[in-house]
Amino acid sequence: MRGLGELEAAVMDVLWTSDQPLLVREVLEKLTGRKPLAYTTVMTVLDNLYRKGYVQRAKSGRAFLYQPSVTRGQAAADAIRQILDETADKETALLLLARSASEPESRALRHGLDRRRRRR
Amino acid sequence: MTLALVLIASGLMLLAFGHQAIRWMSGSGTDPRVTIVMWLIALAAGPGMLIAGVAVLLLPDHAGLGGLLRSAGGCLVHLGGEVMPTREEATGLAGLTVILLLLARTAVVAVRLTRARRQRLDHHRFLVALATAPDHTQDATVRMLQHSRPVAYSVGGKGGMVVVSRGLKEGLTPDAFAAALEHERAHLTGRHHWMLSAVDILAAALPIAPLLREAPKDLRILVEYAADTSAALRWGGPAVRSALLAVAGSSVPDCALGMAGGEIDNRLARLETPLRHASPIRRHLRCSLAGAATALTPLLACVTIFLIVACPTA
Repeated sequence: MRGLGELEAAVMDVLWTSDQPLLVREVLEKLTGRKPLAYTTVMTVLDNLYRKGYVQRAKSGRAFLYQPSVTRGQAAADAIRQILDETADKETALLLLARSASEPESRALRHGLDRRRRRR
Repeated sequence: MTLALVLIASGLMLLAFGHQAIRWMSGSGTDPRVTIVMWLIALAAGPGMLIAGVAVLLLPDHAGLGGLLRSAGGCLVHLGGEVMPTREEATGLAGLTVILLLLARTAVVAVRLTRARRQRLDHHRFLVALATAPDHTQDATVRMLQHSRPVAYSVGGKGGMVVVSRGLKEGLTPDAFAAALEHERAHLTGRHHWMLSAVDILAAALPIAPLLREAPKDLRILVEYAADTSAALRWGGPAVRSALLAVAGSSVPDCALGMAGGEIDNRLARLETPLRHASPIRRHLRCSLAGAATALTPLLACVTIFLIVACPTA
């Protein structure tokens, strides 16, 4: 396990391979083949994934039951799209933005660039 | 006092003009790895000389560590108001206060930037883990994106990895694809991600120093040149040129370094002339000489100025 990102992916993998919602303890037990993790680490990871919208949870007594809110295929396609968005040609995107700007927007852009140049 | 003044003046000279001197000293034909060494030496020597100068001011009779400790004890006495510090000590204490404040600011910025970078990095690694599987035809650090757009970049940090796309592999000859991988591996083995994170912190913490402010921009391009050189030495300039042309027009995620990292025109032009293999001894010698020149030039300049000013006229 190299970092939090890979751990989040491994937890998603556990949830996708399970046919029922899981408790934090059950996710921890199924994370095999790695160095032992703390219960709180897995709980934090599941909380991150919940905030990012990858899992949903439901109360079960005093604990939460977690299950994926997206399929593996959807998540992979969405991840590819996000990565490609980051590797898009930013210069072209900026040129398109500048070309499509209205006159007041162009003035605001020019004003911002002038201020930046003066600061330098 | 003279030694302290020379050190402080040299440090200030490096921080103010070091970037211009490095650009002047490293022409277009210079090995980018040598220029990187010059930058790193300047970035360490500039603040280092300032700190050393202030430490010398605080040393009574330049008496080594014992003297520094005695001086620290003396400071407490001065603070108690019993004895007035000498002018030298007072200047040293003022310098020490400024240095401590700057170090504190750098530490705060470092924590803020490192935390933000780690969050971006973690999220990106999560996305890569979801989107790809390790490419077992390559080594375990290579991840293959199943998409037709040519993509090549590397992500640093613990367990660094190279991300390439199917589009890049299919659009290139095996040599050119291997050159793209070599370029990205050079970023990982050269610890370029770590180096750029550190200079980003220095630039954000102390933008008043031109050397620190200019370092990220120059080093970002230099690491691309250095990675091109590594790839070209192994797979040849034409293979690297093909790979560069394939990724030209794309960009690189904020938390990563990649072939499309900038100055593609100049890099393509540079790869037109065949690169010569330099023996490791020769390369180390060149780096050492360049590093020594970077650190010693301001010292020699300050000593010369001091001698001219202080030398009594006949």
